[in-house]
Amino acid sequence: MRIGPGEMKSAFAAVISRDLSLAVRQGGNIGTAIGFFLTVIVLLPLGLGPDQQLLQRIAPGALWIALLLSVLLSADRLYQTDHDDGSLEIMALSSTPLEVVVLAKASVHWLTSGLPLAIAAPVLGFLLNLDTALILPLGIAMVTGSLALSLLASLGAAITVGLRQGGLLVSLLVLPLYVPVMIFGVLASSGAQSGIDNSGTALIILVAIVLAALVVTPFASAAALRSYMR
Amino acid sequence: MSSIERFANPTRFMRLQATVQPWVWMITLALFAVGLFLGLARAPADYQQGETVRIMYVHVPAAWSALMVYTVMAVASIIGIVFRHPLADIAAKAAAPIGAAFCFLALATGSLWGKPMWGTWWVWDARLTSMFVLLLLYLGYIAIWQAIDDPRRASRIAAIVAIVGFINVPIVKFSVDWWYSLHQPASVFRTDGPTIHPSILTPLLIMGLAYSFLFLALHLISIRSEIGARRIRQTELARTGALQ
Amino acid sequence: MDFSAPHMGFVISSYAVTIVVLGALALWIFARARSVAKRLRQLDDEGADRRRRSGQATA
Repeated sequence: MRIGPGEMKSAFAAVISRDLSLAVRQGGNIGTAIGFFLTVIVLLPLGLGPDQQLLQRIAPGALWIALLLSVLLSADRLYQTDHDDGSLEIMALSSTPLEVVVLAKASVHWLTSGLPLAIAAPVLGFLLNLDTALILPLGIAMVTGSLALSLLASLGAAITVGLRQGGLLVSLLVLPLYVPVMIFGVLASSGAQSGIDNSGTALIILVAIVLAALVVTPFASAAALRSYMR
Repeated sequence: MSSIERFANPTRFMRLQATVQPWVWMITLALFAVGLFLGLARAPADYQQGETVRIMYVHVPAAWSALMVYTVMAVASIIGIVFRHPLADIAAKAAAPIGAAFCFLALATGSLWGKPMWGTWWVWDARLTSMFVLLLLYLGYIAIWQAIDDPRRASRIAAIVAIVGFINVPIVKFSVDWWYSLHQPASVFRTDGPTIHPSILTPLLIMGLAYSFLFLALHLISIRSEIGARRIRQTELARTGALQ
Repeated sequence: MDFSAPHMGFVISSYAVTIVVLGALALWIFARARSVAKRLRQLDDEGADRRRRSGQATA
């Protein structure tokens, strides 16, 4: 059965509003992500020593590592409840393409983990003596990059949805995919810290990575989910 | 019975493999003999690296083959997922451990080369980092096969992992090169060094061919075992079904 | 090849690690091929036995 773009859009919106209200009602995911983020940021100076210059130098990279780990932590159960209670199968049988459902669920994950963290990061950056000139580029890079992180994490979650030891496998599968996002995310947030200011170019490449993830992950995730349902 | 039809092609493969296998082994051994003779006995020591340059004859072919095997795996996965060809799925699965071994060897010998040249066992050099990511891709792919029991489901999921990983490889290479060029320490010996002299290049290419043929030889045997293992699985499933 | 050259230990170890890893890989693959072939023969024999017995039963 083929459906028009209008209906597809409304199905997309329906999944988003359902999952968003679920996330807000439970409140667990957003809290976990921010709590974990804060933990990493507080542990870093305690582990590395309070040297202000050192902290300033590593601040963008450290914030990115914290972002990446928090997103990964909240992602491995992305499809689990819907898979276990069978609602994923109903969504797959409906006329809406599973790719649209996947995209909606990844967007909700971004709205409830990547986006709040990207907004919180510059504020928490004060704890790491983040250069104030970097607050805006860091925020922009994180809002953009975390979208790719959510998409890739949702792919990892879809690949391991039917497995008992899924959580362990997600990190191994997603880590290689996170390498480019990490590199260009940090470069886009570091300004001229490493000598030449490449942050503009890095941001453009980061956007390209997000677009590539946007094209590849919905199809790959939907294909993986379908093979688990068969 | 549909299973006979499903394995009609693998049966033809088994016959082909049995005839080709001894020849592949002979070519492999000959290439290794020539490559090692040229590399160890004929090629001169490098004026800058000394005898250490001889590590290249096992390091570079391992890195080449690791990339080649991943390409084979990804192409087989695409054929498997598009045409639903069981032999392609099996070929992809059988390639992974061999490729992972090559990848590990590229890292280990690279590290052994780096210790005298750089002074440390591990440097986050662009090439080593890319190879390390490739090893992680191999391990993830193998882990997926280990985690899923049903071979048909495992082959589809693993194929998705292989294809996404294959798209990822050039992006990782690009980003790691960029990253390394920005953070490059000043006093590091350049990896690519001076232009390669033909007395070094010839054994290098022959060793590369030798590694490719070794892969072919081991891959053919692995595919044969995997076809056999699936037949065993089917027969045993049919028997337990018949008993009930 | 000059065995007294500096760093020769690294050269020898890299060839050694290559031989060990590739050897272990080959042995593992041979062992698997052998065990699969053995099990297949076993199943074949059992199947032949069963066919013979069921043939007698129906006859």
